[in-house]
Parts: sequence; C-alpha cells; structure tokens
Amino acid sequence: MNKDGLFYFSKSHEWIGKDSNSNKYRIGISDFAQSELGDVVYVFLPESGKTYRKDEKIGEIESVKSVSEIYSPADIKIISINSNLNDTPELINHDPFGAGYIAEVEPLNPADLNILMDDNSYRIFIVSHHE
Amino acid sequence: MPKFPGIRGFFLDEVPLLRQSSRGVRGVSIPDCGLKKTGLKKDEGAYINKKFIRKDPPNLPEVSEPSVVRHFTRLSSWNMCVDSVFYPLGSCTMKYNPKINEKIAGLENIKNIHPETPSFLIQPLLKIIHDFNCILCELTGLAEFSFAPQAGAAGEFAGLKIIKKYFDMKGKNRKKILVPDSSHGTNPASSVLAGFTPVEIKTGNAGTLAAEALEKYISKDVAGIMITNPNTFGIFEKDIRKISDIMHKNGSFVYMDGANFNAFLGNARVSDMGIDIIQLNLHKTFSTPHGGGGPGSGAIGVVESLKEYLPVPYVKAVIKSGANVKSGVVDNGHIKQDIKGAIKAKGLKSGSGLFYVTAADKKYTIGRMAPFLCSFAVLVRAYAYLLSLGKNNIGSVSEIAVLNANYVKKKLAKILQGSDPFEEGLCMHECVFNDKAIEESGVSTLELAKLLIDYGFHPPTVYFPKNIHGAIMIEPTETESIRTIDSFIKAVEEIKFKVKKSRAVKSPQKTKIGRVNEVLANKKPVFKY
Amino acid sequence: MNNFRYFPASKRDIAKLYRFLGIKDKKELFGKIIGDIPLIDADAFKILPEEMDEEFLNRFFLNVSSGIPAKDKFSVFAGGGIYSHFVPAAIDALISRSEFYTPYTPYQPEVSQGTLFALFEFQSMIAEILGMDVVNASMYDGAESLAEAVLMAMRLSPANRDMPASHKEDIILISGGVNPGCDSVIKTFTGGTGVKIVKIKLNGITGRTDIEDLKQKLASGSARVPAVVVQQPNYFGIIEDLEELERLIKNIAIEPLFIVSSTEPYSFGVINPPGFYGADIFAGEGNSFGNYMNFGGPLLGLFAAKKDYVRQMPGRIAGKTKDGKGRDAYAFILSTREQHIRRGAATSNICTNSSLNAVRAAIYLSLCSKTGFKEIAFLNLKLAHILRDKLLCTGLFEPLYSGDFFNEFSLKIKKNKNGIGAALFIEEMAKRGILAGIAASESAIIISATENNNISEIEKYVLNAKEVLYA
Repeated sequence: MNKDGLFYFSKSHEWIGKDSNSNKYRIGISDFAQSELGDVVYVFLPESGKTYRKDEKIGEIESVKSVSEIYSPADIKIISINSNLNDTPELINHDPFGAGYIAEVEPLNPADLNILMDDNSYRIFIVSHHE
Repeated sequence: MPKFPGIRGFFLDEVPLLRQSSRGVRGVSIPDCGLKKTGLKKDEGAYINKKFIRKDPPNLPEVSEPSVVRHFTRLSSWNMCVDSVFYPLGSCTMKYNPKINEKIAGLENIKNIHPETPSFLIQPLLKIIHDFNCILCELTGLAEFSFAPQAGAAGEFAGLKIIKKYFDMKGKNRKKILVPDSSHGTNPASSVLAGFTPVEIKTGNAGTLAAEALEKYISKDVAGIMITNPNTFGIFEKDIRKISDIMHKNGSFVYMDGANFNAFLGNARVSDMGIDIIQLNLHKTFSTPHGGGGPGSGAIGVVESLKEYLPVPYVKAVIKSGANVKSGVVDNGHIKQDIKGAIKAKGLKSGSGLFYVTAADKKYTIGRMAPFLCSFAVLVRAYAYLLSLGKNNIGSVSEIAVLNANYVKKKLAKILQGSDPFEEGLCMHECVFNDKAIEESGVSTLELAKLLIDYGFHPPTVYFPKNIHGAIMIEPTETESIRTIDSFIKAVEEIKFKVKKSRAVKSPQKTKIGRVNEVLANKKPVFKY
Repeated sequence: MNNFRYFPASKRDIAKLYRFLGIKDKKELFGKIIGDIPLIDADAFKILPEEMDEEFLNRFFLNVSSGIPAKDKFSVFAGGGIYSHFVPAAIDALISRSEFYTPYTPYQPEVSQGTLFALFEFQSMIAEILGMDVVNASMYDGAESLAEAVLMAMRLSPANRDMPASHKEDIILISGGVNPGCDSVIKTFTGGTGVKIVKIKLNGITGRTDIEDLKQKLASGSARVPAVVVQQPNYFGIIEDLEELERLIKNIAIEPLFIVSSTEPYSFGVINPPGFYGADIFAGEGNSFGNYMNFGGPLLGLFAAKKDYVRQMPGRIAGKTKDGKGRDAYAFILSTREQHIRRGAATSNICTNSSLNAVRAAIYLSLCSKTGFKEIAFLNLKLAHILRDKLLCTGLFEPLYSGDFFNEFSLKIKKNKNGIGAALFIEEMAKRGILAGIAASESAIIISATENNNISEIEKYVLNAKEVLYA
C-alpha cells in the first residue's frame, strides 16, 4: 500500500481522500477490494458533473467472471472521471490509491467524512470481516 | 483398476479459412435452374435500381469444398463432446444423444417442409406435435404444453408472462417473484424480462428451502415463486407440497424450473407437487443434442386453469365428419384412444376421424414467442426418444441417473473429506462438493477442472451454485457405466493426493491450446477477423 | 428382461449400486428422497406406448415422412420469413460429427476450440455480409432477435440507462413492412415495459416505409422514441430505401436507434447491407444460410450492433485471444453482460441459443465463397423477376406494389369468375403440388423464388395458376 495523505474508507471498500499533488479529493476502491476482484477488465465510470448520495451506486467494475458495484463513499459531486481506466482498467489492480483512482470529486459535506473508517479502523474491519 | 481415457495429443493446426483464400475458388455449385435457355438480362441493374446494388460482394473466404471439409473437420477435433468423453457437467444433463433420432430428424421430407404448408398436407407432422403434447402431460400430470419457447430461458419467460397476464386480467398488480439464491441465473433474468421484480430467498446451508423460511417473504405483492426441483444442489425440495400450499393460499403461482427434470422423469409427477407451470428442456432430459450451445427447446406446461394463457399458435385436434371439419377440441379420452389405436396399427393413420390444425384461439394468450409453430426438428427427436423408451423403460432413466449420482456422491465424499455440504441423505441426479478438501492439497476448483481434462474427462460445472464455496457440481446421468464413473473418481483421487501444484497451474497441458488468457480477451476484445 | 440399449448399467450393476448405497429398491430410493410424493409406474401411462425397437421406430417415421409432400414433388414458392435454399451435402456431413453436435456450450475453452473457432468465423462472415462491427453467436430466431434489439434500444435510450425503468413515455416506431410474426413477438417481449408500439405506414404505391408518415410521427408529441425499426427487404419483398431513412432518423435531435431487420439476408449478396446506412443494430433471421426449413424451427437469430453498444448486446460473443504460450485461442467474452453472472440485471435471459445452426451457417458461407454467394443471390433475383413477369403476363394478377424487390414479391389476384381469393388459391395450388405463397390479405399473396426453384417449376406455377383461376 503506497499512499500519502488521509484516506477514508467505506464498508463497501471504497475510499475517498485528498490527493497530495492536486489538493483535490478523489475516490477509488481499496487495495483489498481490487485483490478480491482479480484482474479488472472493464470499469463503468460515473457521470461527470453528477451528484451522488452516500452509498448510491456510481459505477461498476468487471473482472472476467464477476461484476462489482461501486458505491459512493459519501455525498459527492463528480468533478472529472479517470478516463485512463477506459483503456487501462488494470490501473485499479496496479495502483488502486494512485493512478487507479475512479474520479475526482467534491465532497458536499467534508465534515461527514469523519464517520468513515480511517486507515487503521479499515484494516481492523477487513481482518474481522474477511478472515 | 479403472483406467483413465487419457489424452495422447494429436492435433492438427489450422488457420482461418479467410487466410486460405485463392481468388475465384469456391466450394458450392451454382445451379443452372434452366436459365440458359431464356436469354437473360446480364446484370443486377437490369432488375433493380442501381443505387441499391452492392458493388463489392462480402469478403467471404474463397476456398473449395475439400478445403472447407478439412478445415471444419480439424476444428471439430479440438472439441470434447458427449460421444467422446464422460461429460459430468452439472445442471446440463449431458446424456447420450441417440443416433436414430438424428436420422429421423434428417428425413428428407420432414426437414424440407415450409411452416406455411397447408394443414391437410402435413397431418402426420401436426399429429406428432399433438401426441407429444399429450405424452408430456402424462409425464407431468399437467393439462397442456406449448412448444413455442425455443429454449429453457424462453420457457421461463413464457411461464412468467402467463403469471403476469393472469394477474393483469384480474386487475391485480402483483410485482414480486420469489427466487432462491441458488437458482440458475436465467430465473431472475427471465423475471425481469417479464416485468417482475425478483426477490432473492436466502437458502443458507440447509440445502433445501424450508416452508417456514418462506413465510416471511409472503405478501399480497407476491405473484409466484420460481423453484428448481431438485434444486441446483441436486437435492429434492422436501417441503415442495407445503411450499405450493403456502403460495396457493396466498393466491400465488408455483413455477418450477424443469432443467433438472431428469431426476424423476417417469417416476413422479410435478402435478403431485402442486406445480402450476414448468418448462421442460428437451435438450436435457429428452436427449436432443445440445449442439455446442443450442438449439434446444423449452416446452412449457401448465395446469388446467392456465391453458388459455399459453402462447399461440398451437396444434389442436378437431373432429372430422365426412369431408367437413367440425370445430372443437377433442377431449383427452378420445385422443388417447386415437394414439393407442394408431400405434397398435403399426404406423400412423390419420383415421379415427381426427384432423389436426394450427390455431390461435387461446382466450388470454400471452401472444407469440417465435415466428412459427415450434422447433420441430428438436421436438421430433424428443418424441422419438420417448417412443424408443416406452412406458416400461422411462422410469429407469431417472432411477439410474439418481443411483449414479449417489454413487459419485458417496465415493467422492470419502476422497474429498469434509467437502460434501449435504453428506447426510441422498441427492438426486447430481451432487455438489465444495473446495475444502482439494484446497488442503493446494489445488483450486478451477485447477481441478483443468486437470481432469488431462485425464480425459470433461470438467464438472464449477463455481455454481454460488453459495457453495468453490462449487464442483457433478451430474453423471444414466448414460455412464460404473466403470466410467470409477475411472473419473480415481482421477479426482489422484489429483487430490498426487498432483503437484506446479502441474496444476499449468493444466491442461494435453489440449490443443493451454489455459486461455481471458483477461486479455475481455480487456481488448476482438470480435472478428 | 433385457437391458435397454441406452443404459450401460446391467441389472447386476444396478443391484450393485443399490447394495453400495444400502438401499433395497427403487421404491425405497425414491421414497427416501421425495417423501410422500406418489411414485408412479408404467401403469400410469395410458398414452405413452410400449417401447419401440429401432427398426420399428424407423418405419414409424418413414411412414410419417411418406405421408407428407416429398421434396422433389412439391415446389415451394413461399417465403414470408423462411426460405427454401439449397443445402450442400458437406454441411450435413460436417455437422453430423459428434464433436460439433454433442458438446454443451463452450464453458471450458481449452476443450471447445473447435466450436469457438467456428463461431468466431461465423461472426466474422456475418459481420462482413451485414457491414456491421460486432455480431453475436447467436439468438433463437429473427423475431426474438428483433424483440431483443428493441429492448436493447430502450436500455440505451438516454433517459433509460438502467432497466427496468419506466418506459410509459416511450414509443417504438415499427414499419408496416416488418414481418407480422416478428411484430407480435416484439409485443410479447416488450409487454411488461409499458412502451408503446406505433406502426409506420407503407407507401401505398411503392410498398416502402412511408417517409412522410415517419417524419410526422417523429415530429409529433413529446414522447421519446428509442428506436425506429424497418425490415430489409420488407415483408412484402420490397427493398427499403435505407439511405433516405437514415437521413431522416439521423437528423432528429434525440436520435433514435436505427434498427434494421431482415428475414432474407441472402439479399445482401446483391443489395447494400444495413451497415452501409448507419444501422445501429441489425437483428434478423439467418436460417437461409445452410439451414433447412424444418417446418419452422429451430432457426438462427442474427444479431449485430455498432461497437459502441456492445456492452448492451444480448447473447454469447466469441472473442479472439491468446493462450499462455502466445498461441491463438478463442473464448466467450464479455460474459458479465449475461444471466449466469449478472442474473436479474443481465442484458437478456438467453442461455441456450442456436449455436449449431450458426456453425452450419459458417460452413455454408465458407462453401459459397465470395463469388458463389453473389451469384446465388443474383440467381434468386433473376428467378423471382421471371416468375413475377410471367404471372403478370397471364392477366390474372396485378402488382400490389411497384417498389424494387429481391427474391420475394406481392401480387393481387384480380377478380375472377370463381371468386377465388388468396387463401383458396394457395389451397388449390397446394393440391397441385405447389406452395404458391403466403396470403397477405383476402386477395394478395406474397411469392418468393430461390435457387431451389427452376424455370420448369416456374412454368408449372404459371400453368396451374391459370387453371385454378380460369376453371
């Protein structure tokens, strides 16, 4: 796991965090989630400019034999999507917290992010739920 | 000691026909049609407006007949099939496809009949459809079948449309169809297509659906349940009658996915289980070949009260008096007599005063499913299968299928210890194992499947049903001998105890090609040459 | 009693199996499994007869066969969605290889390369004939394929990205030239969605889809139109002007999908295919390629679309890839669209399809080759035109429409002193060994001619038509 800055995690394994370079919020799926999925072959991305409620379905990730839904980790507005994923969906496997992010977003209520799990709690959550 | 069939590995390479093209070569003869004498206009433009005319013909391969024959013969040698190997694909009932049935379906006159040929010229064909219907009714205890649905999923769709239409006619809007989470994927997909919302019932680890567990899903919004019996674990739903009662009391219907009908063919009737609608996959239980993905047929049967909802057109018998045909459906008793009479007379006679017509007069019909009457070439094979077996052998089909499956289950349970989720009790036509025991040997379900190929077996169904971890689903059917099954079990045993991980990951090794790169195939899809 | 020939288990084997399981007999076996559901035996069957031995069965069906019109004594001039084409012997020989007709769907690609390779060639050849990007392998028949195309267009319409959504506001415009059988099947399939089906008139003179009527229907009201559906050539045999239709449809603000169907894709050996006119989806019948009429089924549904829409396509698609050693390999791809993965959210419920008929088509088209396909198509065109000319010459018929046609056309039977209309004409002709066509109305019939017909059959048709209508 290779990431800077503060990341927040949802129970459905999405993250939201501030990118240290651009100082903007991004969302993506966790390293644990990508390893469970296996090789990602296609990503159905959310719509740019649209707002989504927390836990609303914003997209899908496909491996060869499965489809997983991506849920919004918070109330957000999509600023731009990571269109690199159209041609190189494997970025999600290689760098889920970096180049494999899903979209750049604006949290509607940044204070609400605190109800999500931080890095440590998420680690514990994984262990307790999936081992 | 049973021996494995094994593979030696003799494969001829082959390139796409398009790459074998030589200009002007072809593999078909162009008939003369007597045109030479008539002094004809030379080009297409003489017949139709030039703007419609295609300048360059489609770029089809330019090859001779022997090239085509060699090409496809080589291709065929890369397939495993029921005729060459044990094919224990669970839920697919890969039984033997009798050769006489192929000969019958291939009879020159039968295969060349246009569906719009007037009834009076094709009485024997209409009679086959009609009589086959009666026999299926006898096998299921239901009132009438329709042969409009072209496959199992189409049958499901037709059945659900019937339920939908029933409630529409009653002015009721029931939205939900209950579907156990272990069901075939077609069940929820068909529900959605028919305009319902499928509600998943969690079946848990018990293997069957308990009537009590069903209660909490019941409401006036429930139109019906789709239940696979025996279910996809190969286990008979013991509570089926209670489940039917609960549904009926709620004014809901019981749809049975008949994909697993081979489990009790000729030994039990679905009418005795309280089933209202069923689809029968003629390409499974009734021995018609699966063709590497179809075509099949998903005949749909219903109870008396739903007969008028069936798809149209259909075949009905009318009473013929003299030269005139009087309208009206003949009662069952009459038809029975006729069929028995005809068969006793060693051959078909259109006599007994019956005339068969295609009709569309179903009062509440859900409409048409297909352009014509039915998949006749599939149906005629299934009919021939039933006539071959006859009433004295038909019960042996499911008896042997169930015995074989239980033999596999009991023997494999000793090798794959702790992997049979339903170790107590009997299965029906198929059995399911999880991957616990093989995982302990460091082999995954996928690797087991691929390793079996190198022993000369087609793999079982794997990773289905989803609620069994790493599921391995084995359906031997009545086609297999104890010797074959023993050899298969021995192969699983070797894999469990002897095979090294290094070999497992590389398997299969003896096939035309190795493990396919499905990630590449899906990430950068190539759809054509 | 001897063993039945399809069961390898001998009586001793069966006894052994019972012993192994610690069960006495069938009664106990089933009793333990199905509980109080009654067990039935041979006595329960009143209709199913005693077993037939193989030779008896053979004779039984030979008898059936001899009771229906023999191929060489019965001339078929009926189309209407299914056409009598010649089937070379090589197809039956190849398809009778067990390796093609006895496997299941190729879920294990390593042992199914033959089928997958053949299906990939099928897709490639059909794509070439239609001028389309992506072809699947396959649908049940042309009607179901077209119904699925309409559902797909509804999913793709901008306001309805997710199914099931409300389609109460949606209108599908379907040309009056679409085969009425397909029409009904579309209604069955879309019945649960709330979408309205509205017919576009045919031009009374040419028999083509009426451009003015379509224009009006596209312009009127605020309803959304996810798709416009036309058939090429249409039900009456008339060649549609797809260019004109394309121009009109592609100029609408919220562009409907342009769905083109066909029941006779053999026409694309002579006329331009739908892909040349911007068709978004092609959905039609492929039975003409190497398959028998089989009294109406099974058939071969063709389905093709533009590449952009592939993720909303129904059905199996074979794709080309590599194996671990870099060798060419084939596998089903984009399976995440399908019911076995996506269940209720799948693009279709289709599972078993018409795979073997698709392989037949692949073999057929390979045999035809580029030149043969074109020449046979041309032969169809010629024969149909000769037949029509000769029938018009009798003075007993008049054209129903003036539009260009391929191998099928429609005529009206003029008033005759016997008062013979279409239905009776067909019946009388059938008695004389000719399937004269399909009744389109009380007086109109749709007639087709293919390379399976010849000049003497055409002459026989004309002669008998004269006798029937003069008599």
